[in-house]
Amino acid sequence: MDKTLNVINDMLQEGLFRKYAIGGGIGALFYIEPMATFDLDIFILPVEAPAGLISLSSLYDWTAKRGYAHAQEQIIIEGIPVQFIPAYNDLVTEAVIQSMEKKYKEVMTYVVRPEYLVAIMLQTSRPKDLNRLGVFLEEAELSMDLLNSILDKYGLKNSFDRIRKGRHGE
Amino acid sequence: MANDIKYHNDFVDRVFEGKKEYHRKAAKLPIEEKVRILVELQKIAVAIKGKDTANEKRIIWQLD
Repeated sequence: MDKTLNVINDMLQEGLFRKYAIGGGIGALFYIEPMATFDLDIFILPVEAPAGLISLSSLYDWTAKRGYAHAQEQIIIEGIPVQFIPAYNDLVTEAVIQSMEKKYKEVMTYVVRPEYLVAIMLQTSRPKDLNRLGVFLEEAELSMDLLNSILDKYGLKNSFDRIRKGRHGE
Repeated sequence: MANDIKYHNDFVDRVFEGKKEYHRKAAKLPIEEKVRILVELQKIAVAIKGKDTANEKRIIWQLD
């Protein structure tokens, strides 16, 4: 994964996006026990085109020139399927901006903070997100002050309380 | 009833607490070790469920 992260850091250096952070299952992996997942989800703050449009074609062109294959929306970079996801709402944008620097082997990278991952899982609310959310609540070290402020800001407090009550019968 | 097995609550609590502790320890492993375990989980998932689903191409990661 270090080689993959090096390539993503090169893309950042070359201005293909303004900032990135690892999210999804691999973002979660930094905070909880390993669970099977196949994609390396990379949230990006894209570079806006003059007309305000966002295009990922520059990413696909850049990687294609370097011989990285595409499989559906994924790009296989150094043996790992990478999914670039433009920050699609204010919560995800803030999650990328507030991401933490972390090291994988000797490579510096950026990872979404656990409190933002919880909020994104709540907002997305697919069965696999809710399953992972339960594991997060058991295992991850969360700042409840930060989490509560994010949940309040994005109107997710009631959903969170409902799920927590369901889990613990509180 | 004869088939009822009565466990002492302390014993059951210890079993569940032990399980929780195991998962908490796994959560604190170094990320490099977690990724190594992840690849083993990917191999198991592909062996059980196959390579591709409607929504996902399941590619086992190639680490160094």
